Amino acid sequence: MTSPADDRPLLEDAVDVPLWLETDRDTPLAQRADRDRGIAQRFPAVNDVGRVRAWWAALRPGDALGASLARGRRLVSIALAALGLLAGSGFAAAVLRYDGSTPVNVVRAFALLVGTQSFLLLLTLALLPRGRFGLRALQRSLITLNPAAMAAAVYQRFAKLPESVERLFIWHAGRSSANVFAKWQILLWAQLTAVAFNLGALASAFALIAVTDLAFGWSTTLDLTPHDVVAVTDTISAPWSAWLPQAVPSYSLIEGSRFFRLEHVATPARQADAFTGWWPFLLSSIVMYGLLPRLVLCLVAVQRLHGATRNLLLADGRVTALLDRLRSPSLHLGATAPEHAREPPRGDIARRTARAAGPAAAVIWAESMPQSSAGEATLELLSTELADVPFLAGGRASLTQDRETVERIAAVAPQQVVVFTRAYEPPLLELLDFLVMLRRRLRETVSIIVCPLPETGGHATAEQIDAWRRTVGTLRDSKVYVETIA
Amino acid sequence: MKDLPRFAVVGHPNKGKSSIVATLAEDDAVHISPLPGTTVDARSYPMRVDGETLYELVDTPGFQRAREALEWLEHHDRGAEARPTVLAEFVAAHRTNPRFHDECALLEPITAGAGILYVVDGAHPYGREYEAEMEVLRWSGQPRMALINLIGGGDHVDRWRTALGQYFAMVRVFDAQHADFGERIKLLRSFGELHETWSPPLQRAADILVAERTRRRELAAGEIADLLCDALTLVEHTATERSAPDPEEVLPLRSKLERRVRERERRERQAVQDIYQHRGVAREETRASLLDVDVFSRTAFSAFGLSQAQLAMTGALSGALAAGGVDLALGGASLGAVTLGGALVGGVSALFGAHEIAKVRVLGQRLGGRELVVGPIAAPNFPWVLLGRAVLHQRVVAERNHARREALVLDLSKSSHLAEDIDAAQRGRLERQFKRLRADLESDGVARRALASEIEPLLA
Repeated sequence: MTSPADDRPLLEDAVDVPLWLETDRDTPLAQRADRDRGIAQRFPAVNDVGRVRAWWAALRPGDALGASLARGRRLVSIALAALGLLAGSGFAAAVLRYDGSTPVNVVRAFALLVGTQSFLLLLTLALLPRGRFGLRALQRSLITLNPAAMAAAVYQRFAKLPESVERLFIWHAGRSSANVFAKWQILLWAQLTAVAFNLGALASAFALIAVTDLAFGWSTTLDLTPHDVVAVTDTISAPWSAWLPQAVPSYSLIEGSRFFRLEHVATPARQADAFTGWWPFLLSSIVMYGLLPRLVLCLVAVQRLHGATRNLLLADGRVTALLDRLRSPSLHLGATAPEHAREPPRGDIARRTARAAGPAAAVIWAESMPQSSAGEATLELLSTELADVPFLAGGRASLTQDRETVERIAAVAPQQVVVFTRAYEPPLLELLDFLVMLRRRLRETVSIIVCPLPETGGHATAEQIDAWRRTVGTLRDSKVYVETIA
Repeated sequence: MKDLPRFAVVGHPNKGKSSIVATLAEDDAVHISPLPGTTVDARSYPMRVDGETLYELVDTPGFQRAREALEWLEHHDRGAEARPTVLAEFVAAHRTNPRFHDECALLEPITAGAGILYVVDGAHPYGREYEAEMEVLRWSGQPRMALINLIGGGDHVDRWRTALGQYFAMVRVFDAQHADFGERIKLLRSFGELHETWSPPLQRAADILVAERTRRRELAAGEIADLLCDALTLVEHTATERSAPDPEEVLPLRSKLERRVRERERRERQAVQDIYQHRGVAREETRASLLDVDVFSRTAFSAFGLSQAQLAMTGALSGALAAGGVDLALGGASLGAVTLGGALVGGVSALFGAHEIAKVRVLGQRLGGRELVVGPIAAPNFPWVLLGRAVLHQRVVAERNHARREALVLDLSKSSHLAEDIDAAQRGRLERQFKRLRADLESDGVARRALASEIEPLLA
């Protein structure tokens, strides 16, 4: 089966998956492993991001925080782009303001529209390397000045994001994956704003040039000759001089458009070209030194942000564990069906109140003790003459022998019978069968005393005796007892 | 699935059949009772890898009337070659007879082709009453192995070995309660010796379990690294009007921080137990002292996350930029004096007007204010205490057998000297990781992975 179609922004999953996995912690690991491996087998993917996203697509309960975050991010992007457009067009309109008295000073226009941007671009580049020593302090200050960082801070503040998510919008020059994400998100927003600013400035400038009669000239307090200015403009125009020569100011344009504010500036028809020829150079400069670098940075930021988002998803410890479950074979060792345990026997045994006198017999069940020791043990339990007590074997190789033992006991017509067993062996049903057989051949008043014996040198535990009492008690025979000897 | 290795775990009641199954199947939910006869039906425990079954254990009730069953078999004996058939006939004839419920339940998988794992208790003496059930099993003609389990402190293994050797092709000692992972794997591989077609899947199963063991250690190291990353960067903060820390304000924050650390530890313990399939095991562990907790008060401008120094720098840069515009407008005639002045004015006013700025509300939110911050926990030994406890817990859990039912007791006195027990180079590397976490007050996947790879060699 192929992976479910997935066109959601990666950020959604990078936010939602760790949050969901946190709530999933209480699900037993074996269940999680089975579930996750099952999904991974149904939707194979070529890489880790694909694996996680295919898994999430199969489990996703619906839109969660990530979706609203992605919407919020789009909203901030649009707002910043609009702000950039507005600021750029307004700024250009102000810089290129011309009332017909004095031409627009190209030096000042260039400084404000290109120079300032180049300076800000340099500050932006200072933010890119990993902050060390003094650079980190500078970066922290620059970050706080960045309008995109302010927008991010306002957004995270008013979107009321949970603590783990708001870190994605606070850039403080750290090294965590959240911080790297915040860095590239804020840088992307900043570049978006700057691109919009440049587009706004270009649009505004072009509109003013197209619909009004702007006059450009150049003026400076510095002692510059037209030759000096030509050298400067040639250097600035070098990138486009080959394919856009009309945007390279000529010597005659430079010489003819110099003005001094103290002079009255006449604009005879002959000089009009000299005062309108600067605009291709100015607009090309904005494109080359304002718009293009920002576009390049914007593309870099998009690419890095994607990497940071990917890392945000994969670097999370919970996602690492998920990937392990997705990749590892599902291993199952436990039972396949629920267990039906038998209720432990709950028989009740009465206590013998007095020792009876009269004939007795003893059975050594399953060689629980040597016959030589049986006499002494019997005396501890019975008040009888040991010489009259037959010691018989039971629970050995065959049932025939058990039947013979029962018959021999019945022949004695005892008042009491002792059955010696091993305390550490469990009371089996075949012993209960023997006791039932014995009872059938004896009168109801005959006491049958089951005596679980400890291992030589040891002692019977309370747990063992309890097991014997419970099991033998299931016979519901008031003359069957379980007793121990010291 | 004729070649699928299938083993019926059979024997006398209460000799540890369920314990062996619980150990091999890593299932601490298997009912293990000191009372005999609590296992009613045969229950299957397959090892499945991605749905493919590699082998299967079947836990069974114990023999209750082995001599009577053997009497029936002998009565119907038609010669050695027909004995497996006679055994199957016994099962067929008594399947619905409650008198032989347990015998039928345990013999049924054997007559269907399962190998036999006969379990006895080597801590108690051999008895001839076992011979009837061993004889019944011999009638099946199936591959047979005897496992001498050890319940208690006695040692009668040699006598058992001699007796079992007459009925079983292989005899192994396996302490279900205390066998470690290596012994489990060795036993599993030895099952393959019972039948030539069973060996490949059982060797594969053992290899997979060994790989799984490594994987679990990596996962556990990851969980411990997560714990350290979180605990070393935890802080508690609250808004305050006071300029110096007040014990009345500090104590609740300190308690809250301690609770968060303990809760984080609890989560790590649960996760590690989950990794080793010991989810339900109760835990008894003493509380660790968090030693010293750094307490300090600082002013933070919460709306934009700026410190007072950052605010001053921001003010200076803003002033400089604004004034730079004036310089520019003057065509450089001011030689940057206005820029410098702007920077000074902006910086100084931001520095001294910080508290006034903090009181300003924007859309109902205060721009800033003083806050009391407790943490992170600064005691140099703190990460080592956390790591030592977590490593001890992992070692106990990883070695713990699934047949055991008592609570997990952690003797934390053994964990306090972890730093002294590891070599200097590794100690240094770990110390650097701790320092970095504490300095950055944040962690990421790289830090976590680096820490986990340092922790893994410390684990069982």
